[in-house]
Amino acid sequence: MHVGVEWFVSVSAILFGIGLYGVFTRRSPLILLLSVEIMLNACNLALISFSRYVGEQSGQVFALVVMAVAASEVVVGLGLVVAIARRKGDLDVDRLTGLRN
Amino acid sequence: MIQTIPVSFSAIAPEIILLGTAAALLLFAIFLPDELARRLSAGATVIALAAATAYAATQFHDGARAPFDHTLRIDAFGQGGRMLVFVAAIAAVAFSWGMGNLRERSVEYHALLLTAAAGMSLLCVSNSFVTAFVALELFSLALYILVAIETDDLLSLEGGLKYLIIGSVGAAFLLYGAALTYGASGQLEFDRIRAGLATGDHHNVLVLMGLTLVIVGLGFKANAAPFHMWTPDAYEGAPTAVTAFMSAATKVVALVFALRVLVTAYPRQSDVWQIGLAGIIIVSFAVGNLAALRQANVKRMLAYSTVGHSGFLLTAVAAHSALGTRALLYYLTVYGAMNLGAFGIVAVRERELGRPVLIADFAGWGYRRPALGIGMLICMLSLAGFPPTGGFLGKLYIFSAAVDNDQTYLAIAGVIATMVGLVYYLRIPFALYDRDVEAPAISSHPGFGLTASVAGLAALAALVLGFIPTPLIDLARTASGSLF
Repeated sequence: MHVGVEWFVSVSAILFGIGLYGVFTRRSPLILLLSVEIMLNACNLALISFSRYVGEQSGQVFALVVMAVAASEVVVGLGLVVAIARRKGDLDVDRLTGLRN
Repeated sequence: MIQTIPVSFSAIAPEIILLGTAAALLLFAIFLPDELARRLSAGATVIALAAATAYAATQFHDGARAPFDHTLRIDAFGQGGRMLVFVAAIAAVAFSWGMGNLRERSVEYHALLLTAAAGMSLLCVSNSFVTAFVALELFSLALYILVAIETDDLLSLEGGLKYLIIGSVGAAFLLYGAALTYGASGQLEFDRIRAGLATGDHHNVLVLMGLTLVIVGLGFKANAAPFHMWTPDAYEGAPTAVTAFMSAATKVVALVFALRVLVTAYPRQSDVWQIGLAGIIIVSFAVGNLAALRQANVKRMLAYSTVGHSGFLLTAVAAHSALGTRALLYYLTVYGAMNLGAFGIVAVRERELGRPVLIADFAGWGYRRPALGIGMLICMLSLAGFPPTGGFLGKLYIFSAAVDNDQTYLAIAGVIATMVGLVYYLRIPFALYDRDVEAPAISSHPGFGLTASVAGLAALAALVLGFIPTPLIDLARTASGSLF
């Protein structure tokens, strides 16, 4: 059975949408970081399927690079979350309202 | 078959110098006593940045080349962006000197500043989505930590976390746009994307979706509205030295990169991205200027002012011409100078007060500190666009590029935004020279002389560039010649 590239790209677009929806609706910093990760992995899926489609490897290399970068982003993000939790004992961006107009 | 990739160490020498110094500081300086480590790391950072600036300057007039198999493009345009970033980083070292709460973290602070400058420098010369993404994340990750470096201050942490989440969403947009473009063209290097898109329908849905997402991603990084939500929080939460660096350097790289990717990879789609940018520009003018009107905190006001300025800078990009590129580089230089001046003087006042600065805190201050008062006056007049400052000339230059490209409506929107801007920019000079208040208390503090003199120099540069623009415009002409 042959599955066309459009199916893979559709799945990645849906994943990207789910991640974006999560970023806009969720409140916990941990879930927000998770949503961003879903968006980045949607990009990876698109890159890998297009790489197969155009018959060239650089897209797959790019996906590996993105994984490394995404991991370091989570490290920094979780570091900040831990630092905030230590000071506040609370994890809710709605209650992070110290900075407002 | 094994292909050899043409390696050129001279192309990435500035990044090697900066990252090497950062690594050396992290490895060795932590063993030194606090005071010695602070002096050593600040000194080494300034020397490394000055060396990198000098190196970029010597290569400025060399012809364009594309080492590392077209993943980088070393040309006068990129070198110009690099130099602006390095000078802004040197100013950030001066502004943070003596900042009490950064003392015990000075080694980490300087290493992160060097890392951010290296990432920005790499982004200025990136010619491939892979390099650009790595460079973008390298400087963004360093900036997230720099914003949150005052870990005892909840506002600093909060600003850092918000910046991280929204900045990562922006990077994801850019990445998805890159993936769709890759699907349409089969290439990741900008010049090869243009060649790959040259055949066939160059308005197919994949290309247009990719281009749209790339523009949204660039909008996040250039803090243009409606993608600016992180800006006021990150700018207010960050230590003021970091805010000064972010406001000047991040804007430079975001705009330099935006112009390079749009002009190199998508020149055939310019009708589409010019309309997209025009929408972002008008929203930025409206949101930035109207929100700035009702701010009492000076850093928040200046943060919204940078959102409004994204509108002016993107107008130069949307012109898609050599004239627009010259206008962009000229205005970015002036913009960097006046923002460094303004934030530097805010940093002085902040340390006098020991708390965030409100506009009211400047009341009568111009009489107590005459030199800095005049510096702040110049910065505000330049930001507002008064002649004879550089801000006036830069805006004029950008508007003429817009009119030249039949985008007169953008020039008109810019003039309206400038008039609204007068209202809030002039609040500070009026406060500075308010005769009806008692002169405020001033105090001396460590690092005052250095911060004040560098901020004053930046303000002076914003004024002098308005009087003597020709040398800078000649350099900008060389730089724009490498793109068009």
